[in-house]
Amino acid sequence: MNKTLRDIWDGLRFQPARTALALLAVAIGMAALTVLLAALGGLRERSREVIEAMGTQVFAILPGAARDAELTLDQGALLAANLREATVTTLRRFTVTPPGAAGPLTLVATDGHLAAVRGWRPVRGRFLDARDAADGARVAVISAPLSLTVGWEPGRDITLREVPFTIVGVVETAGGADMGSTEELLFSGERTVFVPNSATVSWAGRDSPGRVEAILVRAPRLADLPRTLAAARRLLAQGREPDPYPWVTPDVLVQGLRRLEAVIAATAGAVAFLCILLGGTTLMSLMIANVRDRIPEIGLRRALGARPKDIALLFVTESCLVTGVAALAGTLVTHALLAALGSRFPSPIHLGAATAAIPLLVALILGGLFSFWPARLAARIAPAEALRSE
Amino acid sequence: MTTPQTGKHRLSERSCRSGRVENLPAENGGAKVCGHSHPTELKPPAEPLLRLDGVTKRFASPSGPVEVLRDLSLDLNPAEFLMITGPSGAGKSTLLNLVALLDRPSEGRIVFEGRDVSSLTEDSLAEIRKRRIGMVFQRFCLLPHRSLLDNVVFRFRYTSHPAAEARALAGLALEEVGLAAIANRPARLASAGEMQRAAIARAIALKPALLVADEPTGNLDRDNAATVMDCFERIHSHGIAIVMATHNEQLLPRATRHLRCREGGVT
Repeated sequence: MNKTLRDIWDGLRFQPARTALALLAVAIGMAALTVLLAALGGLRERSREVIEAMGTQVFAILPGAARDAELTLDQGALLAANLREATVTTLRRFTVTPPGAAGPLTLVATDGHLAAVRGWRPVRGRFLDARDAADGARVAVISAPLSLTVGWEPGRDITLREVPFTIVGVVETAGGADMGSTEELLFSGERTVFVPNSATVSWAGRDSPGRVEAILVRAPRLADLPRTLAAARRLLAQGREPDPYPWVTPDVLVQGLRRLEAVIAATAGAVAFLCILLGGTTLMSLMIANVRDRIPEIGLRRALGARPKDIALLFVTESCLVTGVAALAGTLVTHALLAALGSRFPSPIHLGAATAAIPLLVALILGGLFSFWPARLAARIAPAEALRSE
Repeated sequence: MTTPQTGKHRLSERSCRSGRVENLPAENGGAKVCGHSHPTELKPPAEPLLRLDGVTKRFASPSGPVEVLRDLSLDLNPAEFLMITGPSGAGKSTLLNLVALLDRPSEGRIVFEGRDVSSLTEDSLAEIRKRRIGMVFQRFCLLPHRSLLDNVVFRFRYTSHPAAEARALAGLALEEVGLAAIANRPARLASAGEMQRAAIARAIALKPALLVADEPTGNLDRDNAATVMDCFERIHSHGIAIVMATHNEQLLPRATRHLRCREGGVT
């Protein structure tokens, strides 16, 4: 192996420009592949987070586009009364900018069941409860990241839309990343304040009293989800066809992400494929030039007892080494860039073993495939002819 | 490295029909003329090291096949020093390539150490070249960025010798050609004579039965050529058969046998 590595090193270092070009071409291709894999990995990770955050037993009902497809507190109450063992909650979102918050916050008006539906646990104090909802208590629960950034703790008074509230708890909210309007609604942002529905009646406006932006339902068990979903549909649609409400189940969310994933895979995949193809053809042309330049050396090797397959193996190994090193460099640089700039990417990215290993594997296959023909050419040069060529 | 093969002249019909090439100079009866003691002065063994039997070699060309060697028969005994002379294009390099088993005859057969190698696979021929044949080229064929020692070690590139053993044998070979003192000098910094001696050391490092040299002094001045020829004589004295092609007829007295390729025939 040492002999081969030395031969390859000698072969490469005396063609620095050619070697650099081959490395660059392959590295670009592998960088493109790494970005694609990171984006797809990010989407898959997001799918998993979405399911985990929302809960596999939870579904949401959103207002429909039609005028008679609004959602109200009464409909939430209807579901709560009829879906035995299921837990139902409603929520409506406002934007507020309280003093001392250093910017706008998301205010979610809900009831005492939201934490139970979402599976959240208070890290300090308590969550809203039924009495708060019934009394219209001026109490608030804040998300843990908000508490961390502004330093608010249970017992502190805050002013929301000129109404004083007392913080009674801090809750850790999972799935806080913003992913578009629907998910922003379902998955609270990091800077969120929860208050009872009943304390925000006057904020809703005259034309939409009791209106809510989502109803969340948690089935008692995963196996009960289809039955609970069907019952809820019957109760809300009340025979209307088609069903006027968008129903957001974990499956629907994941399907949406899968569609996005497919689009990214198709478009970015095509670009990555073309980059790889470009890298491969560049590599092949460089390998052919390499073979032509080294015909006397091939002749010498044959005179010294190299078999045709030894010659072929030399060029294939050299090519695989070039692509492997290029892939390693391309992948490392891309990982570093993505890690540094990841938060500015429009879609989530996930860097892991696969984003590092797959480009390496592809590079080695690429090196083998695209050097096969040049290596075959080299192996088939007759030794006498090779020695004559100097 | 070697003479281009296009426009070759045919070897003579007479020599082809005779089935043998003749030795020159005749007055020495094929014996060495340099005055040194040589194994060839002993009675040659019954079995030749190499036998070319009715060998013909043709090359394709746009105007049809060109026959460079026709029906050539030749025996080379162990420890013989055969020198081939002749003008460019006369077929010297073609003959050397056949002798070194780098090429195959179009017709006829080649027997090396009692084994018909004409129909052997490439891998089998490579194995024989690796173990039993050394080659020296006019333009040295050294790896310029490696040291002289590493160039000689390159002889073991396709053998299973441990690295230490290969280096030791390479060192001995360099000693044999008088280059031990500059073994670590990069080949590109060596003189032409030193490069050729390093190439000779590479060829003999594995103690071949046959050393094939194609115009080894072609790129050297007179002094360096003489030094290189001294090396060949020393190697020959160790019992290694040598087949050398050269334009320089002044070197002929160093050989035990002379084969002249020229337009119209081989003598």
